[in-house]
Amino acid sequence: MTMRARDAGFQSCHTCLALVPVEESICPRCHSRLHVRIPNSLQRTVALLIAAAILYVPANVLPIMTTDQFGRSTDSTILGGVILLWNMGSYPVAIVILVASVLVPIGKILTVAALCWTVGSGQAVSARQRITLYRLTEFIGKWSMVDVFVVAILVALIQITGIIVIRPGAAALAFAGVVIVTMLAAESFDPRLIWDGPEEDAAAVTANAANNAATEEPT
Amino acid sequence: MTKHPFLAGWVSLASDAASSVSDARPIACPDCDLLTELPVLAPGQLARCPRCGHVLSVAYENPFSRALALAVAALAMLALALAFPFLSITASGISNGMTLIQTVSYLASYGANGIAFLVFMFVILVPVFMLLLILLLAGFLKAGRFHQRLLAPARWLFHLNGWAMVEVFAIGVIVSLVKLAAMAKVELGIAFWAYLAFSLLFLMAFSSLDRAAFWLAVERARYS
Repeated sequence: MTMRARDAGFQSCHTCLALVPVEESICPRCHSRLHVRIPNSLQRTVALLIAAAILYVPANVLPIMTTDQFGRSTDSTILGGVILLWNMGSYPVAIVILVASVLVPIGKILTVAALCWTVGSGQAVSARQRITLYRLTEFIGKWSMVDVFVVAILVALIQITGIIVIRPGAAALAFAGVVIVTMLAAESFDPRLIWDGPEEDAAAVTANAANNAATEEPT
Repeated sequence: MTKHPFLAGWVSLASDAASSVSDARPIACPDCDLLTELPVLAPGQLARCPRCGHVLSVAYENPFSRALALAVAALAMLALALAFPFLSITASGISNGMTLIQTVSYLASYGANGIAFLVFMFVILVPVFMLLLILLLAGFLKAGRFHQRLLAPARWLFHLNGWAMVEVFAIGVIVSLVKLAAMAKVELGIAFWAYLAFSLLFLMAFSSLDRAAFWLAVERARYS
């Protein structure tokens, strides 16, 4: 018989994993604030996802860097960089950038939004599959930052030659914003909500009723 | 188990689950809230949540000595990475070296202060801060001591996890090399290899400090 800590009147500390009765508000072991679930987890996550989706537009439309060569300026967007690399024949790197910078951020936003929707509407989707998706988005999170670092390295390295100048574009900050905000969204989503569906709640009620019946019998 | 005062009253719930294992702790899985027990692990063992598969704890041999050694080595490697040329570029017959700090300072020189700050934070500042916290906390725990004032730094360490991007930056260097391959000759400097070693040592140092084991050690140091 599986039982949630919540049904037993306990909460797990987010920081140190201590098992503490639900009445406590500060963890006696590490002094963190305690919650049975992250407060307003879904609202917070959805708000951050909307912010990420908005930032995703300038991140892709504006230039991520500008190249000045022989008095001529060329703007390049993230997608433009991918196409350039592909035409140069650097297929593996083109694919890495396409996946890390274009597909992963939008994929993360959609995945976490889907998780919020299944939890919010009580959809009966395999919990095991959903937690795997959640862990994947959590793991992948920071890897999208690779394009921002590439801009930083190219700007410094090209500058040193003194022939060509590469300047960072406005999309770089917007893109870093997308990555940071989606990471915060994944952090504010409480995965335990996946196991808080109506069936589990019903099971907890019947288990409690059975427990009560058992304890009442002797008297 | 009952010698830890604040857990004394609560462990009763584990007793009906046949707590034959002497020091098994009741624990709730942080990913699915399943009420379960964390057995005492031997070095090399790993405990997973029986329902969702989340890794609850990993045991290392002498975790605090290990973390200390790795953190010292990581900081030494970072010192090298900051001191030597990171990449060198040869274009039109002229060769120039670039340092790690220049990736930040050139961004700032174009007024991209936001990006410069973020790169500095994720690539240097957060990992260094985490390593200093590891030195401080693992040092105390290795000696079996812990002070109430160290609780806040210990919480910071676990909350910062995920915001150090050393390995992502290392991949960024490789991507930059390929991007420039057609344009100029780029060579990896000593500092790049030092940074690569730094990122590996950093990841190993932090992963030595298993969350469950760390806080159990804190509890023992404070209440035994």
